[in-house]
Amino acid sequence: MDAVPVLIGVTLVSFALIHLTPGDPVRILLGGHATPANVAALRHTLGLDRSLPAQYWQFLSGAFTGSFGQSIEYRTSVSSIVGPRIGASALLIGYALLVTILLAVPLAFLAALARDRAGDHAIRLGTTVTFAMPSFWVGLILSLLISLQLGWLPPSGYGTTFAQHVEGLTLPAITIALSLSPLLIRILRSSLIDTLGAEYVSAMRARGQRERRVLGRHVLRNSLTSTVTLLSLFFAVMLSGTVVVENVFAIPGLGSLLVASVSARDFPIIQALTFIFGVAVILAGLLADVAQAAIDPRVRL
Amino acid sequence: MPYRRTGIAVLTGLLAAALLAACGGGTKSSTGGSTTVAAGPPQHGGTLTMARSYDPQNLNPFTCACENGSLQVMVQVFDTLVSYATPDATAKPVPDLATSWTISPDGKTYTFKLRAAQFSNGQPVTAQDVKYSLGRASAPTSAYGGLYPIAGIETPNSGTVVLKLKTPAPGLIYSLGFPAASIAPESAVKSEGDAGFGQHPIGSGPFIVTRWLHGQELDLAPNPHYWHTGLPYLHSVKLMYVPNDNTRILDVRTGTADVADEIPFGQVKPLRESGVNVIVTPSSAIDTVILNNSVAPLNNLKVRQALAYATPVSSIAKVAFAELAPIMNTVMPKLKYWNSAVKPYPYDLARAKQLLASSPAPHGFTLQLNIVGSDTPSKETAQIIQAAWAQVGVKVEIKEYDYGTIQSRWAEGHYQGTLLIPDEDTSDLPVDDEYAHGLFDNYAADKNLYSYYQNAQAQKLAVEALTANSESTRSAAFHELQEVSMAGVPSVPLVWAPYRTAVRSNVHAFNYVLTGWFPLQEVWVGK
Amino acid sequence: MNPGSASVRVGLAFVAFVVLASAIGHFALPAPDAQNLAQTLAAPSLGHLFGTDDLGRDVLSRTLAGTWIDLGVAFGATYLSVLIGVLAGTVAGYIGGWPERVIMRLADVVIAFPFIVLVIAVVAVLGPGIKGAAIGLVVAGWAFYARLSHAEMRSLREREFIQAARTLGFSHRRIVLRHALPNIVRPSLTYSVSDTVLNILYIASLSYLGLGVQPPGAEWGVIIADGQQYLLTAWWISTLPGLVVILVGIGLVLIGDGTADRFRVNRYRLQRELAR
Repeated sequence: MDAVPVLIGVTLVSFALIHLTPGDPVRILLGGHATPANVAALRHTLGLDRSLPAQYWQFLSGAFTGSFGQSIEYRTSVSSIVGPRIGASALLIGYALLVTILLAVPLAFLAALARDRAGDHAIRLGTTVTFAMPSFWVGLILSLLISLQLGWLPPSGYGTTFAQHVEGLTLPAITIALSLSPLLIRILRSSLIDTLGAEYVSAMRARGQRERRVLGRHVLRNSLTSTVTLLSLFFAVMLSGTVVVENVFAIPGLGSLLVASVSARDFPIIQALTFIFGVAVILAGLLADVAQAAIDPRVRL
Repeated sequence: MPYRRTGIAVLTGLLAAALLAACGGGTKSSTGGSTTVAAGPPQHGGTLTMARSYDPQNLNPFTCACENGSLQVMVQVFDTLVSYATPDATAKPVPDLATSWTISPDGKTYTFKLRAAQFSNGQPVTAQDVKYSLGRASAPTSAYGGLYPIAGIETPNSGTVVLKLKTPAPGLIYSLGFPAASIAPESAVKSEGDAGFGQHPIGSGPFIVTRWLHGQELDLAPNPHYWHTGLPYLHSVKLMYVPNDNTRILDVRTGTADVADEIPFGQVKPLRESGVNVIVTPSSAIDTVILNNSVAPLNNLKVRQALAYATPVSSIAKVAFAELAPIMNTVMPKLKYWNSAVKPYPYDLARAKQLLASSPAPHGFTLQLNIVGSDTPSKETAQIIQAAWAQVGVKVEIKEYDYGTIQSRWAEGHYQGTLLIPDEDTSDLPVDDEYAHGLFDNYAADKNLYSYYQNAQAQKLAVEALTANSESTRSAAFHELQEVSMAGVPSVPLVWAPYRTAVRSNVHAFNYVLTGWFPLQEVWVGK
Repeated sequence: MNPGSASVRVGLAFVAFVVLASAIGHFALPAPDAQNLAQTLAAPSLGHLFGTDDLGRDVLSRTLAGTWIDLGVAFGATYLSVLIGVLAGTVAGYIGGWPERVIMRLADVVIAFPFIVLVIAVVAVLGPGIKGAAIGLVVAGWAFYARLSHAEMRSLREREFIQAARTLGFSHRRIVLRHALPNIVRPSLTYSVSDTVLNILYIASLSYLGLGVQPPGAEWGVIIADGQQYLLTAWWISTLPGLVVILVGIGLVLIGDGTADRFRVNRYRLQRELAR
């Protein structure tokens, strides 16, 4: 994927969309009390009275040097608003992917080994149930059960230390994992079945290699390549898709900032976020390639 | 005029709570009231954790949008000359940074004596700081400049400030208690710059900001230089941003938070039944069906009156507001000069049909009603109205938009009818001046709050009330204005939505004050 | 009977059950938007099997009325995405050169673009409603199928039978239509069934943000999202319709699994090709 044209495309589309969308950020910010003179003055201060190409050029030239200008709503630099949230989102997504893998890999193995028998059906149907449940519902039920009834984890809060982050992100990560892992289980299961049926696996078994070694060293390794690819695609979806979970568990991530900024028409923040999302998706793709090469020597970078 | 998440006052929650307790008979400990009652002598120390639905944005009094999230923090950090910090909408302003003041007989000169106080950086609060701050608040480019019709500011000595007005403005003393008129140190604002000061505010109020993680949490600690020795009681305050309603409820139920704001109307009673005190405090908000008076057939008085008669307000108050919100009998907020004698429109479909039949739209019409899609009370209200108005031949098409689109369409006049979030459309002042001016005397600037409603009599009364130098003339004009404007129905009045705040039993003296924020200097937590 | 067709039959039975119930409900139950303000938030009973909502409406009637909208929009959006995506991907893969680069970079842009900004913009321009949401789903959804069929076309381009067709002098159109397309469409069609479930969930999250069907319209996502405000006090409003969504979801997934088995699609290869 050619990173630069894609990034320019992403930012250009978001710039065009957000300016096509009715809604004046200054009006929204100042609300009903503002006089036309107030509005004009603030528009000038924020540079919103300049031509659109000039505004886009300023954004683009700033973006590649890491400067995204001033937020309209917060009246401070965009990087000071967006920066701290990158960590929260990265940690949430990383944690959720980890839980997803821990949940999906063993279940996929069980299902593949019990192909078309009761265990397989139970795993596939059971995961379809969590797949088809909206995440705000799952999140709230988890809160009710684990926070209110059992008192194990707080219902909200991200905290300020790493331990507090992990504590606060546990329920959100499980919520995301419950909706992601069914997809992963299905893909991994079918690729495991394909690999299990492959000739070299039968050959190794015939040569009397230990079953655990065959499964762990060869079957899993071969099946993981497609899984890594899929995880990198999940990553793109999760970047802005965590907004509901962030809302339910009060996590200061990028998804909820994006929705709030769209509502406030805070152009500089929206632009910065779409740019960062674009970069992250491209990086995730590259990482997946590297990981695949590491897992499967046949893949050349 | 605060079309933002501003403002509140405190009034008769006790009565509402008593009624609720009576209705909810048989359930355990149904506690409630407008305030938490202090038990025993206040104790120093402790942390107050509050789960708020708001994320503060900019704490600079001179550039802020002054939405609720920021206002509620600004009042902890800054002092104003006066404050209206008692839970009574009819109370007079009380001294804050000013120890006393006099108003000249012609109502055009205000003289304030300042208290010896220090900002949290140790600098003394000088008359020059007051002059600078009020100068910025009243500047023509200030978003809240309209509240401060100040022509000149003089500082005859370091402890005295004199405000000169062109015309009498009896509402000004109240405006000076609104945080846009916070007193800030001139040198710090200038050295930090407006953007920097909005992130690192310095005031002379009871608290200082010790940590601010945007979108997550804002922490306060006592200001060591606070002029009121012995206050505040709290050792620290954590204001957490928890946007989800259900999560805030779980936070306060599990003790993760001591206080949770904006409890959904329907959850107040169940939460009280689970043993959590929920205080219900009247606000300065109005919830009305805002109509665009410039489009046919809404430009016709009979049509608007018909819509008012066809609106089952008591059903709306019951279903969408759990009978916690009083039904409006005027089209203005319920404030100091409220006229209790005005009659609300009864739900009377026959009358509505009759009015419509003799109007330019005898066979009804189609009306597009914009609402904020994520707001449950708006959605319930809109659907009840849709079903009711259909019975008189008015077909309502509900359109859900995000908050920004609603605001923009409204402010640009691209709407027929719109509902704002019920406690969003609020007065910043505990007196009627702001709305009297905004709704009836501001057509040139913003089409009378984008209602496009013009009425010469209402405008005359509003001007009279805003500039009357005699309290009785002022009061009479406001009372008549409410009569006249209710007859003209620029909007269909619904309810005055109160604020609902869950407060755990270890928190004492937590209270909303006149204009919708909660001073924390006297709040304390027990063991 | 092989396991594939059994799974298709069970899946079809689930979906048919819900569709049939909806048809019966249309005649046997109160109107989905009939309010009864005297009987709000009533728990499930014989009179109201799913209880009533905040406006006293029958939740079962609303849920069943939502079937048409949800299945219609989810299938419509999914298969419009398939159509556009497969055409774009196939053409790109067949022609190559700069059109291929442009189309596939466009798909990359869409995949890297936050979906929510797209939908809010579409809704703000077109006006709110399910139409905006559906268009948003298609605008975001085609790119995935474009990648999938592009990869298939690229590998087919080099295969013997296409090469042979070219050597025999068949026209481009004929090669693509008669020979390549059937092979390309198969994996997309297989994936599309579970994509339909995902689209139902997307519509639900859009409703959670107030961007879906307009009141008083009954749609699963709207019913569930509106009910979450009452989840602590009236669990049935969002939970029982949620179970119906799960039932349909399982049904569709079973159909998808069954057809995949029948087409003998190698999903291992399918997923690998998705990546590039």
